[in-house]
Amino acid sequence: MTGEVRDDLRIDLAVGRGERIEIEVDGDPVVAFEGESVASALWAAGINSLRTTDKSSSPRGIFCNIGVCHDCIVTVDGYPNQRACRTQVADGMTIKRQTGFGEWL
Amino acid sequence: MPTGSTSVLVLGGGVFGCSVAYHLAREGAEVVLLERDHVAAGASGASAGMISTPVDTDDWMVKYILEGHRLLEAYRDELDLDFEMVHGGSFYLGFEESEISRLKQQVERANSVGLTFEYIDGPEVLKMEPIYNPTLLGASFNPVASQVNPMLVTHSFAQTARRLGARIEIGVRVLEIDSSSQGPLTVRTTKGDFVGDWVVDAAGAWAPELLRRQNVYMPVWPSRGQIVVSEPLPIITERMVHISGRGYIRQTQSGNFFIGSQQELVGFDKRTTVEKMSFFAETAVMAIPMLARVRLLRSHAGLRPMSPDQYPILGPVPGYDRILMATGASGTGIQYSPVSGLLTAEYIMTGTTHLPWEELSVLRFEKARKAEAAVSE
Repeated sequence: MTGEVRDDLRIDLAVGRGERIEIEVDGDPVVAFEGESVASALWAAGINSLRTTDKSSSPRGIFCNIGVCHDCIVTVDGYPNQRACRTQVADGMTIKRQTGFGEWL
Repeated sequence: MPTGSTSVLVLGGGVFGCSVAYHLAREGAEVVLLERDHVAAGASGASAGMISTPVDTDDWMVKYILEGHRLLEAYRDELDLDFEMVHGGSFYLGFEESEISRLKQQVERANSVGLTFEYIDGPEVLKMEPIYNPTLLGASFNPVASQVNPMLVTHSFAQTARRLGARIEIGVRVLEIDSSSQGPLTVRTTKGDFVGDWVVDAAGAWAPELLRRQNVYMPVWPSRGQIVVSEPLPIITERMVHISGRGYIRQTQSGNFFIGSQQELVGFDKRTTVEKMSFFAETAVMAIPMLARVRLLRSHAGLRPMSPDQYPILGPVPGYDRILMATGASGTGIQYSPVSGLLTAEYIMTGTTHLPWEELSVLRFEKARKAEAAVSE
């Protein structure tokens, strides 16, 4: 009964979740459910390196997960520096894992 | 303690005080700097760091400006901390025909007094900076304008002064200067008395109140300058932008945009206001439309020491040979700090200065003072 998303990290018993949708991460389709944060959806899909830093190009992922630390910033629909943990997924949303402060021009 | 050395008390740990302390320490003076809060706590820390000569600078100030640029360049190597100097030049943008003719006149006048501005047509400006608003008609450009991190300039002066033997005492609030005895001067503070041969009052907008015992005419007022700061972006531009009557935009070496500021005479009120923040944000988008997508992080304000002509006031307080002032530079203190510190130190150590010094004295406002006194009688 849970075969479709069995290979992700979501629990699947005794939980309700929204509509199944699809987002795009660096050009690849990723399954998500309405109501999830971008961070949760990416985490569930096994993507935990969300960007690299400006100065040392070190990888960064989800750290505080409550919108404070800004470690999880990604480019959402062309807007750089959006916090993955505070952004809800939407069908067709495009996510880019960014380098440094992102592409502005 | 070497006998016979010159001892100087510098009041204020802003860019002027720290520059004075550095230049004096370099010449072997015994320097104690007294600061109420911490180094660069006031206007110096709230500056945008633009070394950008105003196009309407009076001719008699040009030599100090050019000397200031030369010194700042030399101090990149001489001082202990890097202060992020970038040579990008600065634009004054014009969006209306009336503004364009004014810019052209200003360029002509500026160049006649020894500055190096040029007028550039809109399309050429946009080739240099494609991020600017395409509706702009033209701009004046100052190719020698540069940017620095104002905090680091101040700390660099302070740290180098300290290495050369200056003492920097923080958390010391000056109460008054006792000049009643014939000998050395005594500065009374919340942490006891300090004694020195000379006192340099570099307390910025607070400089006049430290002279309360002397009861002298010191035309310096706090002028609030607000800055709104964006999130960091990749470095997109190294040129500063001014729009006459509106403000300026500068990207720092950390990637944040600084958008400010105007002169507001509101007393010692350091708060920021939504009115100015929204005006500056609008100015930023008017000059560089892509900034509409950028989020703003915070705002801050500083109280700059404004004098009647907005130029520094240096030299002896009238009637007190050994109390010097070093303040008054309004919104351009970082720019004037090297030359102000150097001239003050030269005067104390040798009695002469390599550039004229009398014209920077508070006595240049004597006429205004007398007029003011006549009105109040």
